[in-house]
Order: sequence, then structure tokens, then C-alpha cells
Amino acid sequence: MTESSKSKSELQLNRRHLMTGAAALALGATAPGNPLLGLSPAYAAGLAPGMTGGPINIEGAERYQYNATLSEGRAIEGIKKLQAAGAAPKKLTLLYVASCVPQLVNPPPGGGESVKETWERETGIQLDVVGTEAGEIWKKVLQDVTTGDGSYDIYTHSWNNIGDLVSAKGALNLDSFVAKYQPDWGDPERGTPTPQIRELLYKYNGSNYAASLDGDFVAWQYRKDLMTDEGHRKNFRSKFGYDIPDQPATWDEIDNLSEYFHGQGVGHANLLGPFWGLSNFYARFASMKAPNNYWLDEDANPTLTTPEGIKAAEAHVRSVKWTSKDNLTWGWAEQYGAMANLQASMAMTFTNMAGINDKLKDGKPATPLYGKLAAWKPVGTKIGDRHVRRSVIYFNVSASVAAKSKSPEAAYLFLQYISSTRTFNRICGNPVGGCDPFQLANLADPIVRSNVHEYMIEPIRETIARAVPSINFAGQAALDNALDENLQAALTGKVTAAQAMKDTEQAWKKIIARRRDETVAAIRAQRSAWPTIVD
Amino acid sequence: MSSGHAAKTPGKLSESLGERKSRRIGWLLTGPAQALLLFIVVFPTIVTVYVSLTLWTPLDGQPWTQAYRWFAWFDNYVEIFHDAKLFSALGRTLFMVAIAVALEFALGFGLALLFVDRFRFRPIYYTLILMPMMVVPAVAGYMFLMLFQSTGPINQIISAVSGQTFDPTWLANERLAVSAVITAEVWQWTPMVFLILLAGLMSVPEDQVKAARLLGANELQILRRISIPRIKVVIAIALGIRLIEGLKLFDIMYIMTRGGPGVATETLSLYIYKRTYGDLEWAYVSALGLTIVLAMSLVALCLLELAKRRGRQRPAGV
Repeated sequence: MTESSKSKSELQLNRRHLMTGAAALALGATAPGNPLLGLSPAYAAGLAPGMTGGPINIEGAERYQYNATLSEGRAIEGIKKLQAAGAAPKKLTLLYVASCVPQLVNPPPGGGESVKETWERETGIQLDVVGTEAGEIWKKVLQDVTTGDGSYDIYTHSWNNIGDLVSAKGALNLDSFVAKYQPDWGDPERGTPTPQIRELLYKYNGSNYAASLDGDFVAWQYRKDLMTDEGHRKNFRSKFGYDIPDQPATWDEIDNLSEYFHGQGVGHANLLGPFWGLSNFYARFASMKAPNNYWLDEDANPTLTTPEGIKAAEAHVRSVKWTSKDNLTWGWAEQYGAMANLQASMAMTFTNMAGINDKLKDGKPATPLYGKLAAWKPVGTKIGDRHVRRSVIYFNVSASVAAKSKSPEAAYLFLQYISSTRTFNRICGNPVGGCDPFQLANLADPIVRSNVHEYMIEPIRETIARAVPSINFAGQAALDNALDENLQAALTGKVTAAQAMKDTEQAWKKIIARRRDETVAAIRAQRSAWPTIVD
Repeated sequence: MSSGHAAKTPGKLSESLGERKSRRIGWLLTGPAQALLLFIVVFPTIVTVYVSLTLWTPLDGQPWTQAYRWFAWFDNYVEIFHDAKLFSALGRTLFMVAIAVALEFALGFGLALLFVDRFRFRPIYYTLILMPMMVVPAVAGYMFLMLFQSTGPINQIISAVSGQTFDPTWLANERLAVSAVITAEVWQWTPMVFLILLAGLMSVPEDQVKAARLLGANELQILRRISIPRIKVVIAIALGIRLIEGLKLFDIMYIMTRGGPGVATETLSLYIYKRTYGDLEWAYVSALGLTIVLAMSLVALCLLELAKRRGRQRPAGV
């Protein structure tokens, strides 16, 4: 059954289930604690008609409830079947990015049950969450994989690590479980905004290996107080001969804005330093050709030294002039700080920056940025009459079932549970962590919208639709490191941008040669997931 | 009486139990320690040697036991000698260590000389000076990361004192970044050198110092002729420890600069770390690790031999 047809049947089933659910509820009222219903009276009283599980004591609980026809419900039913067959574990261990842990284990701001508590209450399976800093988590995953330790049932890792993890045989192929339990990841009404994103986030080489628990599509966020200021608008026009655009179209316009506002002491805050700075380069690079400027051609030959590649690198290196002197030492936390403290005018960054910085705390602005932020859709390059706007997916908390898990099916079911649209709404709607919304259901959920801010919703949608994948096939870490090192050399003036691309290309050729066939297969399988939208 | 009794006891035991039994007991008693040694030293070394002779990486999807499938004899060892980045990292490390240890020694020795004599609030100053050493290196790294921001306290203080805007980007400039990490390293480890040297200076016999003073020696002469010769071994220990520790420089650089900008502060440890967890070239890293251990052992052997020769040349009684 395709996800699309499943969705329709779900709707039909929902109606039918509503009827039976209402009857069940009536029965439940007269026979409290009826074991056939599998619900305790206290919780049953809080479930919407037709729903058999989910939170009952949190704001908008009915939006997050489910029954056996819905993705979370199927996961819970699956666990119960495993338990009946004596094949379910008592405990699952999850290696999770530390900044996201609170969204899973903490109750929502209004109080009530956390996602972890709901899971444990409904399944009786204890969840052991091991939080690890984002920059260190890959090391832990790799240690577990190579030692065959089997300490974790589920690994979370950067989306970019999927290829390496699959190549190291650390992640379980989830195809059979996906076919059996039908997650709503690609549901056209609630799942990923496009089928390409479903392919991109969950599959590697055509098979399901991961579930996305994040939406790290870097999006433009800017200071509207500056961009709408009459004085700045006048000065900008006299300097560049055109108005500050309501929505910049090209990187050239961004560069002009950066140059102008840097002169005012508030340049851009796009990351340029090691690791996180690659996202900025990738977004610029990808938009240099229509429909996309790929890093590698279909035979895995690097394209870094093409005229477009060198132009992108030169522009990227040039942009260091229009930002804080400390930018090269920044990670996202420092970038958020610079925006929060009004030390920068714009940043292409993760979408939770708005939720973190632009909010009230105890009735007072949490940061000086409060009320001053807005968002643009991606910028790009005009090529003839075509306009290629591109963003990039970079890092993105993803989760895989550990190949060495002693309970792979239960681990998968947990993964399906937390990554399904209703439960993931609860996760990214809880403003205590770093997981960003990306599913259609998230972007429609009132609590998520309120946390992320209304002004972010449409730009996020536009950004996701135009996001290209950064590197995620086997050898990714080595490829990214080589690019990173050479870009840093160029950004600090040690080599020219062109030389940096040449050096990187040489390093890439060497890395790719090691597993060329595998890389070619992965590149070809991933091509269909690249965006084709040209404005 | 007791010593005579003790001398006889092993012989009696040996006779009564027999030579073989005695040896078995010896094995039994040292067995656990030998097994532990085998487990924590010999086994990993054998694994490292084995992996270093292959081109295996975790990305091959096979456990290390299957590494023989990618057997490549000494390819990794040959690559070491062609690895320009490795030698750059080694050069940078030696440069940074030389400067850092020299500064640590100068400051530590100076402070130790001050603290030999008793003075008011000495214990308080003593505690304050030792505090940096107790800070976790990662925390020290974060602290100096903040201090060396262009808008950070160091630039602000210099600006306030000089009355002029002073805002260099310490961590984004190659030379300044090296100075910044050396400063952090010196701040953290000078107390250790100070502590060792102070212990050495306190052990210099006071009667000799007093006698020298009575004979008209000034403080510098006392230092050169009495104190320093007396604590030569202590100085060697302090420098040795810091040099070895310095070659392992990692935490502070990792937090402050991650080896950047570019590779300006990439030390040997950081380079190995990148090759391990970035490039996942574990076989190459195994070869590299073994080569470094061998090289360090050779250096240590040479130094020991040198020390022995000097010991032999030294006249009796000195």
C-alpha cells in the first residue's frame, strides 16, 4: 500500500473507528477498567472518541491522540503484539542528541505528560535516554558499532552520517518494518512537504535506514527593524542604486546587504567557521546552476573546480569581510547570541533560532531581538530567465535502529512512534529543545506555530521545498573535513578560494577512489531527491 | 634476629615445598597481574600492529578481526613518511610546546623562588596560584575562548588601559591564535611546574645556603652555585613531565580553535583525532600511533643513555 493510498484509507477508517470508538467509550463508561479496551478508566476518560492512546492531560491533547489506524497507534499495537508473543524488551536504550532530550523527557510548558511518559505508560517499556552533545554523538555511535557493544537500541546522529553508518553496517535496514507498520512519514497531508524530502530524510541508497527527528533546513532570518528603517533604506539606495528588497532574490543582494549593514556595525551572521560553516557554503554552491550545482557528478567526479564552483567559493570567502571578526570561531550558539544581542542584521541558520531568541520570558523580552525578527525564503542565483533559490539540509537529528539491537522490531516501533506526525508535533512543540519542525502536521499545529512564530511558517515551507542534500554518503566525514579545512585556509587568507577548491578536489578524489562504486550508486539513488523547483 | 630469621624462611619454604611448587606459587601470585597486563597492554598492541598492516576502516562494514582482507603490509608506514600534514602538525606541536614549556618554566621557577621564603598571606597566594591546575582543561578552553573574543575582556582591558580601541581577532588570526592557545596552556600548567620546583627548592639544605651567605655569596650566586645544581633532577622531572604532556596538547586547542583557523593550531593529537573520527582511517592511525610510540621510546632511550654516560663521567661524591 502506498503512503498516499494508506492516508485515504486511514481517513475512511477514522470515520468508522470514530463510530466504534464512541461505542467503546460508552461501554467503557459502564464497565470501567474493561481489560478488553486496554485502557484504565482515568486515561480513557481523557481520550477523544475513537482514540485509543496518546496524551490526555496536556493542552490540545486530542490533536496528539491516536488509534490503531494511525501511525503511532500501529506502533503501540505492534509493541503489544510483541509483548503477547514474549518478544518485547523491558527497556530500550536511546542515544540522543543532548539538546533534544528535554523535548522528549520534559512535560510541555503547561504541564502534563512528557512523550517519554506516554510511551512508558502505554507500552510498559522503559526508555533509557542517553544524552550526548551533538559534536560528540557520532564518536559514540561509531564506538558502539565497531566494538559490537550493542549498548544502544537506537542511535541518533546527524543526517549526514547515514551513509557512513550504513556502510559500517551499523544501521538496520528498516524496509520490512516500514512495509509492515506503515509510518506516516510521507503522508501527503501530514508528513514531509514533498515526496523528495521523504526520500532524502529517511532513505539511503533506495532503502529506509533512518527516521528524521528534526528539520535542519537552514533558513534566512533577518532584522526587520533594520530592513524597514527609512534611514537605512535611503542610504542603501544611494550606495547600491536599488531599494532594500522585501525579499532578496540573489546572493549578490545578500552580499550588498551584508556590506551595507556591516558598515553600520551589524553585518551578517552566516556561519563561516569549521563544521557549521559548511552549510552556508553548500547553499551558495548549490544555487550556481539550474536546477542544481551538484558537488559530484553522477560518476562521483568532484565539480568544485568548475567556474561555478570557484565563483561560489570566491563569494563565500569574500563574505568574511562583512561579518563579525570572531565569526570563524562561532558555532550556532554564538551565532544565535550575535543575533539575540543585535550584533548582526541577518543569518541563514536553523529555524529554532526564532523560537529561542524572539520570545517573552516572564512577560519580558527574553532578548533584545524580541519583536524584531522576520524570515525570507531562500536566495539564489539568476541564470538566464531562471532563478535558482536553494537552501541545504545540514546536520539534522536523525535516528536509526542499531544493527546490534537485541530488540530491533521494538526499537523500530519506538522510532516510528516518536517520529510520527502526532507525536513529533508534541516533541517540536515543546520549546525546551533543539528539534525543528518540518512535517506538514508540525507546520499546521497551533502550538508549534506559536513557538516557531507565524512569520517563519511560510519561509520554512519554501525553504524545505528548495533544500538540497549536503553530503551523506560513505566517506562523508572525510569529504566534509577536507572541504572544511581548505575553506578555512581560504577564509584566513592562506590560500586563494580557487586553490582551496583545487586542493579539496584532489582530497575528494582520493577519498572517493576507495569506494567509488558505492558512492556512484548512492549519488545516483539520491539524485531524484534533489529539488527541481526553479522560480 | 629477625633479619636472620627472614633470610632463612624462604630457603626453608623452598626446601619443604620443593623448587617446582615454589615456582608454581610464584606464578599463581603474579598470574592475575600478568593477565591484566596482557589484557591491557599486550593484546591492544597486537591488535594495533595487526590493523596497522591493513587498509581496513570501519566503513568497510566488517569487524577489525576481518581486517586481513585489506592486508597491505607496510603501506600505512610508508604513507606516514609522505604525510606532509602530519609533519606540519608535528612541527607546530614542537614549536608550541617549546614556547609553552619555556614560559611555564620561567614563570614557575620565578614563583617558586618567591615562595621559598615565608611571607604574609603566603598560604592564600599559594592556593590562588595552584587553582588553574585544578580547572578541567575543557573548562579552561571555554574560559579562554570567551576571554579572547574580539569583544572579550582581554581586548576590553587593553583598550581601557591604552585608551585606544584594541580589537584584534585572536582566534581567527593564525599567529594570534597560536599565542592565545599558548597563553591558555601556560596559565593552566605553570602552577604544576611551580609546585614541583618549589618542592625541589625547599629541599635544598638550609645550612649550605646560610654558609654561603656567611661567606659573602649574593642571592644570584647562591642560586647558581647551590640551589640549581641541587635541584637539577627536579628541574629535569618538571621539564620532562611538561614536555611529554605538551606533546599530547588537545583539550584546550579543541575547545578554543578546533585546530583553526585553517590548521594554525592543529597539534599532533588534534591531527590524529581528525584522522580517526573525521576520516575514519583507523588502520593508518594505528600505524601512526605505533610509530609515535617507537619514536618516543627511542628518544627516551637516548636520553637515559645520555644520563647514564654523564653519571659515569661525574666525579665521585658530586
